[in-house]
Amino acid sequence: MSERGPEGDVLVAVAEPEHVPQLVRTAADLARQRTGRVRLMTVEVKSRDSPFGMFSDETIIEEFAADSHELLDQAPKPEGVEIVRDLVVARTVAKGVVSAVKRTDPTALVIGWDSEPSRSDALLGTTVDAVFERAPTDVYAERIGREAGGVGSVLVPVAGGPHVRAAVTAGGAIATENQAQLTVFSVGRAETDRESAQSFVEEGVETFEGVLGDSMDVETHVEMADSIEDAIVDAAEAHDVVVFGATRKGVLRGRLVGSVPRHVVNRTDKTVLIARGEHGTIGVLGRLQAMLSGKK
Amino acid sequence: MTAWGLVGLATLIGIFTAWTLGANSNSPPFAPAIGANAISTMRAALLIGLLAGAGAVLQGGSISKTIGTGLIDGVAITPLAATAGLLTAATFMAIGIFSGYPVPAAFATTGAMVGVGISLGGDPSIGTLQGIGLFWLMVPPVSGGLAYITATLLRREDIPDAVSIPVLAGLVSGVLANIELGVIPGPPTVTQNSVARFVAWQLPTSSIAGIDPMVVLTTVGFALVGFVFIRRRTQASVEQGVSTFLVVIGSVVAFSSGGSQVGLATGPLEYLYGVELGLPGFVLLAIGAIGILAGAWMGAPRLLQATSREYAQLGARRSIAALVPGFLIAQTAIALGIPVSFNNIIISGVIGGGLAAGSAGVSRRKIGVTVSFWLITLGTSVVTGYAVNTALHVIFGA
Repeated sequence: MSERGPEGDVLVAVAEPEHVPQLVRTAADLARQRTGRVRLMTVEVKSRDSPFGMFSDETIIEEFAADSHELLDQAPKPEGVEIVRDLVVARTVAKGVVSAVKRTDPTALVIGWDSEPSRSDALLGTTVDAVFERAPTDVYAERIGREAGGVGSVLVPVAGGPHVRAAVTAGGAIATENQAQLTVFSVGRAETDRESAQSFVEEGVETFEGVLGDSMDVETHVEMADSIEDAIVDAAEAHDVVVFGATRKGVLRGRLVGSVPRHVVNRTDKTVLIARGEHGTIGVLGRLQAMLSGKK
Repeated sequence: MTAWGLVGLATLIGIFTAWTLGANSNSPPFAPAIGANAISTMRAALLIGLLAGAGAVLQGGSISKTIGTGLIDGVAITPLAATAGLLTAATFMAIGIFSGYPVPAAFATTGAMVGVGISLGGDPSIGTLQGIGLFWLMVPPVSGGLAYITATLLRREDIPDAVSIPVLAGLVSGVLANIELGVIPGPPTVTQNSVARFVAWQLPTSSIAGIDPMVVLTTVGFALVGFVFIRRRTQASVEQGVSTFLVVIGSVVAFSSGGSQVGLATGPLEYLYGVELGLPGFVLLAIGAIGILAGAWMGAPRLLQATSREYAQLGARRSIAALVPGFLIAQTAIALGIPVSFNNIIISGVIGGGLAAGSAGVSRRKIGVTVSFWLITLGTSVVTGYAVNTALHVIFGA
C-alpha cells in the first residue's frame, strides 16, 4: 500500500464488476485534474458471525478474497492516470470504505449508488448514507447503470450551501476532461427569488474559477419557475451529466441529500452525481439527533 | 388480553423465532456443496428447508423439552412467561442480524429462559445448567479437534481419497443408524428410537457385555452401505465422490441443524402446548418446523450465495473436515437434550481444519471479540429475560 500523493489520490470504491468501468471513468476524470492517480478499492466483507471472519486480515486477503482480487485486476485502465489497487477487509462495505478514506487521505471518493434502494427509509442506500455521513473527504455518489455514452454538456444546479464547491469541482473536471460545456444553473420560485438565484449562480462560477482557474467558459442560467424540481428535470434533458450538491448542512434536517435531488433523480435518466463536500460529515451528535427525530 | 390472545401471540413470536433460525442457522451446511458446484443454490435452498423441517419434527423434541422444562425447577412456564422468554430471545437474535454482531441463538434463548424462570420464583436447575455449560465449553476444542483429525486424514498423501472419503462416509452412516427419530416405533417405554435399536427390538438376541449384537450389526451394515456407495463414486472419479459426499454430509448436517435449532423457538412453549393445551409434542414441533422451513426457503439463497464462494476457497476437504464434527456434535447435543449454537460448532471446525494445514491464520483479536459477544449475550439475556418477564407481569397484573 503506497503513501498518499502530493495532493492525494482519487479513491473509487467498487463492488460489482459491471459498474466498475463507469465509476473508474468518473474517478479518472477527477484524478487528471489532481495527482493523476486513482486508488481503486473494494471491500472484502467478513462478518463477525462468519467462520471466515475469524481469520486475520492477511489470511483473508491471501486465501479468501479471490472474487475481490479478480474484480480489482479486471478493472479498465483509463488513459493518463495511474491506478493503484487496495483490498480492505471489513465487517461492512461502509466501514471498509470509511477506514480506507481515513488511512489513505484521498482528495475525493467516488462510490456507486443504486437508485432503487432495497431499504425505503435509506436516502441513497444504507452504504452510501453511512459513507456520506462519515467519510472525511469530498464524496461523489454516482448513480450506477445510467452512464452517458459521450459527455457533451454537464449541468450543475446550485442553491448555495457547503457542497457547491464539491459539485462545481467535479462538474468542471468532467466537463474539462470530455471537452464538454459546463452550465451552472439555479431556479428561483418567484420574481422575488431572482436575485438570490442569480447570486447562487455567481457564487458557483466564482468557486469554479477558484478551483480550476479560467480554463474554460462556464455557461450560467437562471430560471423562474413554480416548481424547482420540474425546472431542473426539464433543464437536465439538454445535458448528459447532472451534478448536485448534497443539501445544506445536514444536522438540522437530519439528512444530507435534499428533497430536490432525491425527487429529480427519479425523473431523469441522465447520469447523476451527488456531491458531498469534505466538511459535510455528520458527527455522532448529529447522527443521534437524526435518529431521535425519526428522520433516519 | 384474553388467554387465547396470549397463546396466539406467544405462538406467533415462536414462529418468528423459528423463521429467523431457519433463515440464518440452517443454511451453512450446503455452502461447501454449492461452492464445489455439486448442487445449485436454489435446489440446495429447497433441500435445506425440507431437511431442516424434517429434522425439527423428528429430532427437535429433546432440546425443546430442556428449554421448556429442564432449566428451572419448581415453576411452570406460563403463556405470559413464554411470551417474555421468546420476546427476549427474538430481540437478541434481531439485534445480532441487524448489527452484524455474533449473537448465538442458543445462548440468547437459554439465558432468556433462565432469567424468566428466576423471575417466576423458580430455582435454576444446577445440574442441567452445569451440563450445558460444560458442553458449550467443550464445543470449540472438540469440534476443532475433530476437524483437525479429519483434515489431517484427508491431507495425508499415503491415504488415497478413494479410501479416506468413503471411510468418513461409513462413519457418518454408522452414526445415522443410531440417531433417535420420533417416527421409529419402539418398545412402549421409549418415545424415540433409532434404526439400530429398532432392529434389535424386532430381532431380540442376548446381549454380550451389555452390548446388543443387533445394534452393532445394524450399525456396521449402515456403515458398509455408506462406505461402498461413496467408494464407488470416488473410484469412478475422485471429484465426483467428493461432490457426492459434500451433498450427503450437507444433507445430514442440515437435518441435524433443524433438530438442534427448533427447540430454541418451541422450548418456551412446551408447557403451554403440552400441559395447558394437552397437545401431543409433534404439534408444537410441526409449528416450529414450518417456521424453519419458511425461513430457510426465504433466507437461504441469499446467505448461500454469500458464503458458498468462501467455502469454495476453503476447499472441499477442509469443508468436509468442518462439517463432519458439526454432524457428530449436533447429534450428541440432540441425544443429550442440550441446546447448541450451530455457528459456534462450524466456526471451531473451520479453524481446526486450518490448523491441520499448518497455520490457521486466525486473528486472536477477532476471536476474542466474538467470544466476548457470546459471553455478553449469555449474561445480558438472563438479566433481560428477568426484566421483561417482570415487566409483562406488572403490565398485565398477572
